[in-house]
Amino acid sequence: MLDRLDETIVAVSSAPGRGALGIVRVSGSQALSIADRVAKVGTPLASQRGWTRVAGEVRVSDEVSTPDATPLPFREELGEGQANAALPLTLPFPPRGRGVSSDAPRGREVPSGALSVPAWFYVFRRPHSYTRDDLVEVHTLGSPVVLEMVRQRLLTAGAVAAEPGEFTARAFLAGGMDLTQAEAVAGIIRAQTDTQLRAARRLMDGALAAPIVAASEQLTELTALVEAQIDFSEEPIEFITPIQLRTRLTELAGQLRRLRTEGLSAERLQELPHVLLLGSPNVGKSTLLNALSGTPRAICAAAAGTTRDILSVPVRLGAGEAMLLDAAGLDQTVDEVLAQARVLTLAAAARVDLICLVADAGAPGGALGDVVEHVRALESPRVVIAANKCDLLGPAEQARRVRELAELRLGAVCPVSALTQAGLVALREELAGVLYGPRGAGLTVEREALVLSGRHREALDEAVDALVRAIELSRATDAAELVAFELRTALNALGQITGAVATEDLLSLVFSRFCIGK
Amino acid sequence: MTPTFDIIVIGGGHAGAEAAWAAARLGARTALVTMSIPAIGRMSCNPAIGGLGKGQIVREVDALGGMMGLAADRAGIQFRLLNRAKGPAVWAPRAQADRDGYPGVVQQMLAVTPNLVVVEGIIDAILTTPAADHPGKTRVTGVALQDGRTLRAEAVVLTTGTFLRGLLHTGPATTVGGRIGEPSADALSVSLRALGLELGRLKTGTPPRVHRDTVDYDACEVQEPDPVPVPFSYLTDGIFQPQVNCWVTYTNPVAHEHIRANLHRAPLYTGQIRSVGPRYCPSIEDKIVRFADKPRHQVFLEPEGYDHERIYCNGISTSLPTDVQEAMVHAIPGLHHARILQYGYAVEYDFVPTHQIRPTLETKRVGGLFLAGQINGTSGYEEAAGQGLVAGINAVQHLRCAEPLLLGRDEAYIGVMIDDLITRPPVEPYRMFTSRAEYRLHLRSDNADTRLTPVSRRLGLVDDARWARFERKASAVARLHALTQTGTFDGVPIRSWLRRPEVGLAQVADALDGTRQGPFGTDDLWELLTTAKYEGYVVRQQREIDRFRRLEGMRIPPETDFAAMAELRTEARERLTRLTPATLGQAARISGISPADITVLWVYLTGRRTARRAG
Repeated sequence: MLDRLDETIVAVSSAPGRGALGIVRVSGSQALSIADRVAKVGTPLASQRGWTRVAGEVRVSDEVSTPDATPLPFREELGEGQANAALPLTLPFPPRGRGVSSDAPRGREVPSGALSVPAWFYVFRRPHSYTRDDLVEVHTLGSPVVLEMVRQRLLTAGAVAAEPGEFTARAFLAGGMDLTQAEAVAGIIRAQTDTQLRAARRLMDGALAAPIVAASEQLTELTALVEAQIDFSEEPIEFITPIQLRTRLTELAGQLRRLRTEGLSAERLQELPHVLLLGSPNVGKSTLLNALSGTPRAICAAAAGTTRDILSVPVRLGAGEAMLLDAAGLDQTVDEVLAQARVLTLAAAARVDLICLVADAGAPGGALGDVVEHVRALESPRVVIAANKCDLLGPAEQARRVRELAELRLGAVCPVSALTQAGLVALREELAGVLYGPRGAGLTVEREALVLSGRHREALDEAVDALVRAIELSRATDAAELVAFELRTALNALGQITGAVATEDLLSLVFSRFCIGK
Repeated sequence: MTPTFDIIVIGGGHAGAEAAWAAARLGARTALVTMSIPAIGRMSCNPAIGGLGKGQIVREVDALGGMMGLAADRAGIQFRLLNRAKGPAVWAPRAQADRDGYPGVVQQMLAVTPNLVVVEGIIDAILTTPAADHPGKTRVTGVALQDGRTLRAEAVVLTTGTFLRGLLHTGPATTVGGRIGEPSADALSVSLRALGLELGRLKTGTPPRVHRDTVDYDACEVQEPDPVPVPFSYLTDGIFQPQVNCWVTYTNPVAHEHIRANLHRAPLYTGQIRSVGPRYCPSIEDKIVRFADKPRHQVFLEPEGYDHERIYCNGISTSLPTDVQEAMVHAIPGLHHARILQYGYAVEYDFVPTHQIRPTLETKRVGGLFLAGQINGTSGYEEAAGQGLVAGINAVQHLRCAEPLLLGRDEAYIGVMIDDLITRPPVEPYRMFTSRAEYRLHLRSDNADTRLTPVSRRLGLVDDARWARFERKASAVARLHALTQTGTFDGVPIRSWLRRPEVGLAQVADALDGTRQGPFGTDDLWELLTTAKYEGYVVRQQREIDRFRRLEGMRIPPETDFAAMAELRTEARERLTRLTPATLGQAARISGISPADITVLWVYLTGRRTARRAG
């Protein structure tokens, strides 16, 4: 990200999940003009002074020609009743009419033309903005789908997708900072990138992973073969025939296109941060899950080891949402099924964004057992401790337990009772605070929401475009170096999803398969 | 009285020769210390210069004012431009060279170089003193020779090739030596360790050489030279010496069987050789074991010179016992009655793993001590020459307290190589491939002069004659570009016409005939054509280069304490501490360092800079 400070970046910057309000941010030298390309406002944003709020609408799509062609996710997102009602009127903001251009669509007319939704535009001019550069915030409907569409429009208009921590990095680049602040900022960036890494790992655990990995391996192999034709042309080896190359490239481009259209849309909403309830058996994890989610999703029973599979349910936390996971308790066991469940739980612990350690406040040491060891063994875990069953304790005893748990230095301790629901508000706030910030030494740093699937889609597009050019070039006989150039472009694009492929990897592939060298 | 020089170059191979040549021509009083003066410029392995990726390096060495291109042009006996069937970005010159002629030319060039003294002797120790300005570090003061002499200098360029604790293997027999019949440098290895340098060990090998009169050429395929030889040097107008043929034959199952039956006597498989050899240059026994299903392997029969009786059997490098070599060679068509004049052997030697050098090729630990060539884990004459030239120049810049020569990955193959060495220290002998250069379409052999000659002119290594030639070509090419930027030809814009596949030198020359412009040389027209062909791609690549440069421009101060950066992952802290990259770009290329690590690192650096300004 440091190599493109002159470009204008965009990201969804409200907490993930559905909320009443969502924010998309654009920052950089072209922020105002790019935002103008998606904004329907009376006076262009570029003509506004700084610190101005402008009411209007934001274009989310212009491909809609008939009601039936309304993008499915949009309707799905709003729910049946809302889709048929006059959509914008269900929103609490902004007041309609002021600052909205005359061609702004209304209510049911929406599907017949370009689709827009009401929005506030906050204009900040350099250097009086968060990033100290021109910055526009688009506040609109808090639906992940709408926000993603707005982001897409801004990308099309010339912005580039922000990487995790990029807004923060720019803010501090422009502002200057002392060493303490630098450490705090480094911590924030590390946390944000780790969050994305975990989300990426989750995505790669899903159904999408296998075809993307397979496609990437194919592309790596083809690139290696084309490179070998250039670097080892003195060998009496035909690494790949022109026809084989073209056939395989065409197949590969087809596969990637299918992934682009089918695969990613299905994964799109699976981007909520993950919170795992972790603890010994029978400390009340399932009861806590039910209490936090408001649904009796998990079966609770007094017998230890009731939960064997991993349950997940979305819950609201502060301004955003998160996926709450409940897994089997960690217990030393000889039961084979329970032992398997234990493996699952430990694997989940390494992938989640936050661990909510559930302790039994009534038991010595919180009945945590070796759970603490497992957590300490993880790479930079983020932890909040819920001291459950506090309803069974007196105030003095409760304070003593909380102190005891705090001394583990794993994370903040929240006394709760899943049964009576006491302390749940504070627990939610604590979880949200850790997940979405603010964190750090008195710095106000907002969290840039994940844009993972969006980035993946762009990466796939870039790869497909490069492959198409490569196929065209492969028809010429003397353009191996240009085919290689396009294949490298595609490989770098896919590498953003599956991890970068180094030249050394390509060479190794060739050396392992072919006898090279005099 | 102890003789005093500015710079001492140890070793007279392809790295040492370039280093001495560059240092002396830049005005430094230079001593080249070699074990044997007649061995200066010797080709230990195959008698050829250039090749894919390597030919580009030779062009760069030449564009910078080095020796290799000039020497190869004078001693080349078979010139071929490789990869002609592909685009010009990956064309690469290669030449067989006369095994006696080439070192002769190098020795002659060095003999007439002012400021240069050649000293025969074996170095036992590098002499140092504690560095006044850097506590805990030392700086070079000179060298001690085995015969008791001491030479003083402020900078030393060390190019030990395969001689540092060299050990030769032919079958179970081992001989101490750097090349067959030559001694090794053992005390020097001890001296380097004593200086605190960590040493590693690598292996390489050579094939048998046979007598030319005992080869049945009718049983072989002929490989002819190019009809019009393309020279390496920008100063060479043409190659006029006669050109010779090479031949190609193949191993067969009989030869393979001889090898297979004797693997228990092969040092590579008995555990006698434990160090790592190059995967791209495997021995014949390795080929047969790893690719058991291949019925035959190519063998190039390369004459070692016009009057040289030896033929180099390129493709069957081996360290098998001599009787197995005899049996294997005699099973090969064309070699049934061949008389082996020198058996193949493997050589193991010490090198200095490259996390210990800076991009200037100076060691981090010992000020003024520069390393070039195989001591840095590379293989190949060209790779050695490229480093030797850079080390020679930077040793001088070190003495002048002037800016060092640092070539970027976007500027030269030499830059790619040195950057690879310092960011991904090699674990096998490193050689150049064009695929290592991500900006390959820009790093072409036709434009090495445009890329590098002005850089070297500023340093003072490009003499007036070379500079005048360069300026003439640059102005001619500029006029050609101006002429073709606008206007149409054959119904299309000239630039698009130039990109047509059927448009070559002849067509352009014809088209220019009518304009009364010129005259233009072939090189001028060629650069116009190539530039036009790659225009669109180079623009795309330029964007990547711009980004690359931004990270390269962000310097990491040498005293940076990575271990104190709590938010770096443990792995990142360890690797950065070991490799101490000089820029954020270098740090980003270290394997195992993620983009997030780079951002975190950058935030720390920015914070510290701000703190220092404020304080």
